[in-house]
Amino acid sequence: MNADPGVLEIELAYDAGRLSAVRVDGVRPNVARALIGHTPKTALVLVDHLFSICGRAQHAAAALALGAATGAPESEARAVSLARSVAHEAVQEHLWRLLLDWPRQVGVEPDVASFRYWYRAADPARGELSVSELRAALERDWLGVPLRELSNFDVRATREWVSGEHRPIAQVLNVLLDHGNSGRRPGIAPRESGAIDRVQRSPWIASLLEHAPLAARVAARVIDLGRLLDAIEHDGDLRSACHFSVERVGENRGESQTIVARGLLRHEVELDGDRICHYALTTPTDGNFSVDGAYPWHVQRESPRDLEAALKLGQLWALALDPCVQYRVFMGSGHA
Amino acid sequence: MCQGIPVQVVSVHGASAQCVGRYGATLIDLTLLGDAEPGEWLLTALGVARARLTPEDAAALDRALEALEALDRPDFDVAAYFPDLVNREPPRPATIDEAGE
Repeated sequence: MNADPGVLEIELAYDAGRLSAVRVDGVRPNVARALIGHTPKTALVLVDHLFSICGRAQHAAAALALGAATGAPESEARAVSLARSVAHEAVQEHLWRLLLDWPRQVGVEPDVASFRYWYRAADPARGELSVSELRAALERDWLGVPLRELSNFDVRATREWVSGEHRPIAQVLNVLLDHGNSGRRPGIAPRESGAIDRVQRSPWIASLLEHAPLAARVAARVIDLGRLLDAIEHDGDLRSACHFSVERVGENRGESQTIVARGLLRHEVELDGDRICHYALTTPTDGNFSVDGAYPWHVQRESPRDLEAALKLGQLWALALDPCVQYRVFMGSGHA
Repeated sequence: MCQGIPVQVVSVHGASAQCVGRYGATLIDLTLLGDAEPGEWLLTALGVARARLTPEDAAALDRALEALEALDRPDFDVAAYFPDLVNREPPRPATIDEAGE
């Protein structure tokens, strides 16, 4: 029987005012296994075909790890070029969540035309992105406040800004300010990966994390988007902005990491002669949606008032942690 | 994870399309593409159409998904699913630098 590769089933339970994720699992193919036994050159071709989503980041991580394992690392110019592609891809994914997915999730009208235009403009293969124009659109059309000003907001200033604000991201934040964790101040989960762990030192994000954790995850995407646009515009340290890291371990092992919009992506490869004998990938979804991952950690800290609110929170946390596969959040039959 | 699913459009209903692929019938969001035609192949992820595909590219992606399903078989051989790719020189995907050159 066929199975959609990677459908995530999230079963919730609600009992005595407490929410928990009793099951978080799904069919997730061990893609790395398809690379074992092949040469690094073949593996890189296969990676491009096996990962049609977030393909730039997967290609970059594979190229860096394979280059390290073979002792033939990518040139500096090539690494910068890879980082630029990764940054553009992450910009595209941030736009998708901020302009389409989050508005739809909370009942705000999405700005579809703008999304379509800017998603295409940010396509790494097109090279058509005007960073200054995208930043202007973000501040003028979707936020209503300059990014520089926003980064110093606290919860109170955020609430004043979004109340009555008609722009879509501000409206999303307005809804989310009153959702999540009921004042329990949970911060970031031990295995959580996402824009939030890249920008948690921003005063705005730190303030939201304490009081409005779901809003903090959306705000983190905004700050991360601005950070990536700065890096693309100034071209100064794109590799650092994309958290590029590559290491050769011993004579035949390479490890790399880069970002995707969802979090951190790691590749590890080991060669036996000219063939791959070990390949492992770690994606953000691995840490966020494992049994002991960020999703169960967050939802079990929720105290929703009723079953409907419980299911809503389960859905909001799923989007906040953003699995890279289809997912279904549902209430199990055993709830009280 | 990160695998797109190729599907063929059966019918279009406003901003969504009824499609069929290797995992059966599915309703696909057309927000990004704007429109689609019956018979057209689309690359989809999380229920959303991300790109249009040629029939050849759709077939290649379908083979990739078939390979992933076969991973746990004891006789799995990736070359059986990518005969035209294995041992080929890796392409260097167009990047911003190269697109601008």
